[in-house]
Amino acid sequence: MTTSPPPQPVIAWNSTIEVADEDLVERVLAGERAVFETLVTRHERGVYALMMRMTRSREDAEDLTQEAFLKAFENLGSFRRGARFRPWLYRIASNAAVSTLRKRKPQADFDPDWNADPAPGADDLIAEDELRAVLAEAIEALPAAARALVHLRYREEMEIAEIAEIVGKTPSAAKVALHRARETLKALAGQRLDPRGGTR
Amino acid sequence: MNGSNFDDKRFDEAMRGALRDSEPEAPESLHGGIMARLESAETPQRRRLTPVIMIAAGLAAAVLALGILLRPAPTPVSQPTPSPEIATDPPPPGLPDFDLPALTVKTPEVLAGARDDIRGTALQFSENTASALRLFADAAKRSSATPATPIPAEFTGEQIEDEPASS
Repeated sequence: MTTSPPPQPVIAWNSTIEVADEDLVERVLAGERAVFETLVTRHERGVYALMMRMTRSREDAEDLTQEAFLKAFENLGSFRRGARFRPWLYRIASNAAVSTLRKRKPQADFDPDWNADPAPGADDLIAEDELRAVLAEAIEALPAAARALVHLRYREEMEIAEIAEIVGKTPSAAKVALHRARETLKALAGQRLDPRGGTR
Repeated sequence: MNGSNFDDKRFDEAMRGALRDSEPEAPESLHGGIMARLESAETPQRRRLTPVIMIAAGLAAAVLALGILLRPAPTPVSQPTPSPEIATDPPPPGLPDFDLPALTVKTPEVLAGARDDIRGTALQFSENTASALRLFADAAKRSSATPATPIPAEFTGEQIEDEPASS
């Protein structure tokens, strides 16, 4: 007779049992320095992914992620009560990334060959995998700020208000910028997937 | 065209997939690197008002208070002396004369007199208040000096014994 293993309790990672970031911040400020490691564990991958998306360099992304957490830790005393930790941390990180990108040599952020109208009904004919691959390439062709917007919205699934906080815009301005990025991506993908011309 | 031929839902899903597929794994060294850099950082504390800011705020408040106290009295503005009475026109013919009192205008002398009256009243009031307070204090002293009057038994609920009947 076989015995089935006892069922494991399932606790969602974002269940109410989890302590809020902001409560952890208060504990760090009260002297529990080691608690900050929990915040690092929670957000290091997200910050790294954003840095990678913006800089397209593993070395820069790793360095900027470390720098962002160090800055956040050092400036935790100025973290406003009632504010949200994640946008605050991401803002520190994205500001650092923008600063790094400015120091770099000017680079072509946008491939002019991508500018063309999409073909009608393109989505009926293309496979999902192909669309994803083309979009991944198209996202890379966007400017760094637009890449960050797209990443925060579609990868981090953030609300517009939170994105606006990170990029330092009003929610309506962030929404417009995101809409433009999305339309650009649609146009780029449509042009790329033109069934009459095929992928170039 | 603007690429609106894509179905929105499908496009959004493809975007999520594209971002997920193209995202590199975070390196193993990331966590260790962050923690190593944090080691040398000082433990943060909630920022408070520094003593310098507090002293500056105190000084500013003191200067403001002095400015209010030492404010010069307003200089009297010379005004043309108005006529003590404003002539009223006689009522038009046909209307009864109601014999209204003449309107008077307060001259500076009258205003000065009124001010003196108010000041005198205020002084009188403060003297009266002070004497009332003195009386109250004396009464309080006297009452604390005298022993408390015993409360009659009928008010305390104690049994009152009947007086023996006189023979």
